[in-house]
Amino acid sequence: MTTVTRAGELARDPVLLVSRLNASYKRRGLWLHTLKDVSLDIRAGEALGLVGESGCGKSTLAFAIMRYLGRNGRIDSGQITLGGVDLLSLNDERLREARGRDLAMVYQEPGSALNPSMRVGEQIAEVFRFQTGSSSREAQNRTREMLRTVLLPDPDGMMKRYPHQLSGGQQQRVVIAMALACNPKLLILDEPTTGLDASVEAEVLDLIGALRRDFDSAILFISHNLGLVARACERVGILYAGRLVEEGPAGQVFDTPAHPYTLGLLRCVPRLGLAKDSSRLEPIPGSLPALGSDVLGCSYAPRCPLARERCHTERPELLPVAEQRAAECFYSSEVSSIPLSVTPAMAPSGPTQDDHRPLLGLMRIRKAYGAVTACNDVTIEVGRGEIFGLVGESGSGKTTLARVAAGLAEADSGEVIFNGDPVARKVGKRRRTLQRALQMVFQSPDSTLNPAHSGRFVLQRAIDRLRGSRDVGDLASMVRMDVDQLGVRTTQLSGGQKQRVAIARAFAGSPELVLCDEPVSALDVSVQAAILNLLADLQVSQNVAYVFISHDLAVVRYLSDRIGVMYLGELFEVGSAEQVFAPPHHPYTEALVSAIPSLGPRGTRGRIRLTGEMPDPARPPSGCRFNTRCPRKLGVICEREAPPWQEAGPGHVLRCHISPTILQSLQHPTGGIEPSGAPTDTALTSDLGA
Amino acid sequence: MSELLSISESSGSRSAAALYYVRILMRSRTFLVGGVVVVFWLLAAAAWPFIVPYDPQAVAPFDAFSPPNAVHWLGTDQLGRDVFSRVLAGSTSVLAIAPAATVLAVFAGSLIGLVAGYYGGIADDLLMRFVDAQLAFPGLITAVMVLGLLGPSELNMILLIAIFFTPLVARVARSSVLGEREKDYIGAARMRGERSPYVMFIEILPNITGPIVVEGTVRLGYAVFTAATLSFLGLGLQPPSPDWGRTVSEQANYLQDAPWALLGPAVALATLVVGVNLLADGLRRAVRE
Repeated sequence: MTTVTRAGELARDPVLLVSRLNASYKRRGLWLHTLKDVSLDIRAGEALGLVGESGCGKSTLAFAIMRYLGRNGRIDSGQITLGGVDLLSLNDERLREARGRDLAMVYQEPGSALNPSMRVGEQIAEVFRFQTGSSSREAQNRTREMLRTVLLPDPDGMMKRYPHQLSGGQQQRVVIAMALACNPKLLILDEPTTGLDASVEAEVLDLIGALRRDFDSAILFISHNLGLVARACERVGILYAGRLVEEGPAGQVFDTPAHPYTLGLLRCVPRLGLAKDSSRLEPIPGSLPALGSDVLGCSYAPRCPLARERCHTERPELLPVAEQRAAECFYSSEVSSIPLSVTPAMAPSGPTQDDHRPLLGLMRIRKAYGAVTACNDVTIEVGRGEIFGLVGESGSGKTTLARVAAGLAEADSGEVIFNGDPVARKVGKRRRTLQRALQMVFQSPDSTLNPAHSGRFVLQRAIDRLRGSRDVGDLASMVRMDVDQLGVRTTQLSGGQKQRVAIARAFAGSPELVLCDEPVSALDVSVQAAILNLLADLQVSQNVAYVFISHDLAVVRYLSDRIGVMYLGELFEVGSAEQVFAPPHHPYTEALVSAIPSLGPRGTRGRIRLTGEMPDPARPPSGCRFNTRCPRKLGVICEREAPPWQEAGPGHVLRCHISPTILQSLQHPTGGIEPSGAPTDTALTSDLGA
Repeated sequence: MSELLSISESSGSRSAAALYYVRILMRSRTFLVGGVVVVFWLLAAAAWPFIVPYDPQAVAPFDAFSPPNAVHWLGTDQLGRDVFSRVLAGSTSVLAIAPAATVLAVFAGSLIGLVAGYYGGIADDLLMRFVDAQLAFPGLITAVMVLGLLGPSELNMILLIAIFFTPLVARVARSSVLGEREKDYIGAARMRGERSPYVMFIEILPNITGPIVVEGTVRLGYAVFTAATLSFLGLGLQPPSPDWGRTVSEQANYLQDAPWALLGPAVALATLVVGVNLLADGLRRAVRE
């Protein structure tokens, strides 16, 4: 495939050229066709984002380019050339050279890419010594230089540290430094920020932006996060079931998608400003075709709102739809006119007014693990039928707080009040009625259900123990699952199905409050949308309250009535969702909100960067715990005195030495929300309800 | 495609999951070779009275020390007893003592490991220090003392080996429990007020059987060897039992005249131990997959 060459860049031939690549994976003795006729190219200094849900072949493509497919993978046909060299024809020796010199890959988990027993400096210097034959002195100097390039503070101190002494973001920067040490022609970033906090993510993205200016490497950026790709890349490719279904400049693809799958992905992400009361998320109906299955027609046809007779029998080709753009759809011109499905917005929920006592009260909760105070004097109240969102970076104490409320962790001091009465700290000591009324949905779909049991067993046991009035069939239909799917062991279920069973389990005894600890974080966006809709529906139909924990602010904003913001074990702001997301808000909230990668046009929004790393939780800063990173720090008072709670509006409080009125004037009135008049597309503006 | 469908459909039920393991095991050459050897010895132990060409105890003084030949495949010993017949008959005692001891050790060890791992804290400290203390004893010397006091018998050997292997199984079980204990499904069980025995036996135990079975198989190989060692030292079965360990020690006196009489049981012992270990290897890989 040849893309239209941009004017003035005729001289720049693509560095990476993949054409008609087919690859297969072997699973349980069967070869599954995972990549189908994928063609793409990247020029020097250009970043191509590759988007798709899990199982669509993103990583297979990355590994195929690195030729790391292993014994259970093979390339069936196609060509991969890097700087004119045919990678598929290289022998082992030449391949190893090429990997060291021209190709570099950064993986999802930086911790596992670094040798834990070697100092960081030595690890990077090693690359210089082996790849460029530098003397050790020279390697040291170049390492120092490289650490500065990847924006790590104090390079000399950093070189002496071991990987475990670095934060996740720092580790990832060291890995990127190692990848860049040999000045590769192609840098592959496979989900480089997944698992990192939003503020760290923003830093890594800044770094990638800076590197694209300083280095001439071509970048292949793989992510499931559309916002990230929109921010980091100028071009984007959308993979679906092993096929590249759309390709083009990132801004255009996200503004006016030419493939229905792209549109589907865009519509199921809760964007900032979207709230459950005003609009529903639109999950893509159906599910991914089984890995390796070969469909006669378009592989997206079974899920596609535009699909007609022809789509099921004839396969579309990836054809140009506009300048520099291509899509694999017969009806790509109609994509932008797909109407939003008219599901009515849910009846406005929120706390019911007849009872003013809070349902759950966490009073001055303190919980320490050894020297680390995970929760320090946190007080929150959750009303009946209310969704209380809890946000903060990892290590902020959100999960600890939920586990204390659940009785899975014991607070060192403080009280848990439910329905006006203090309750036992340990869940085992709590009354059966309380166990029924207070349930929890956990984060990881893979460990939330016992792999040795079937879904039916899990639900039946929950009904028996919690004296539920529903039977397994009722619960299954409540979470929109087929009872037949419950007969199999839970290991056979997909992530979304597991999470549905887990939600059904929590609802077995008609709870009044469900603690949701990052219930959608590990799910793909389309599945995430379906689960969020389900949680929103259940909240209305069962009149249940949630404490909803997430690090994804858009998700919390979408679902929550009120929101609490935590940092380093302390609560810093509480207010309604609208209040917290608009000024005046706490400087930390301000930074979090501005760090959300958005799908809007890039570079139009001022972003507040948090400086420095999260402090060691065992030795939190004195005074205001946020003072070491605060962009609006006043001075000595922040280091000496704990900030007071100040009222910023009705039911809106924040802890800062700066008064809300001054914060209001400091923070741009439209701070976190998209600037007006930017996106022109109808499909997107219609649900950007800001 | 149709094959793919049939897998995803059938792999649902529990028996199909078991079938899946069987399929992996059947593809493992290690497991198959080990299995053939072990099954051979199991058959010998059970059916030797119908197979052996001679009565293993029949004395024939004029045939003493005859080397392997067409009549006596593995030769005869100092009393003219047929070595081949005695080797087959000798498998019975080992294959009774070793598995019995192993099964006991696996049960006791799993229980200790579950309790220590699940409760943690003081229970864990007490149990595991007890286990450590026991591991610190030199096994063989203790065995010599205990069996010397209680007198050699099959039951005493079984108990003694079981007691020695229990801590090893307990450690494996405990570390597996620690891996499962923090998982969310345990939290969910506690949220609905499940009692500890339920959580231990219904929630955790099914998920740690893999490592326990593997450890048990490894222990079985050692148990075979330990039983033979104790018999060799005269602490197990007494003459004229054809037990392998016993026979090896007996025949060591005649090594110069009739090495075959010693080699028969020695090689038999070696094949059984290797066979069991091959089984263990195959299982371990299957569990990991």
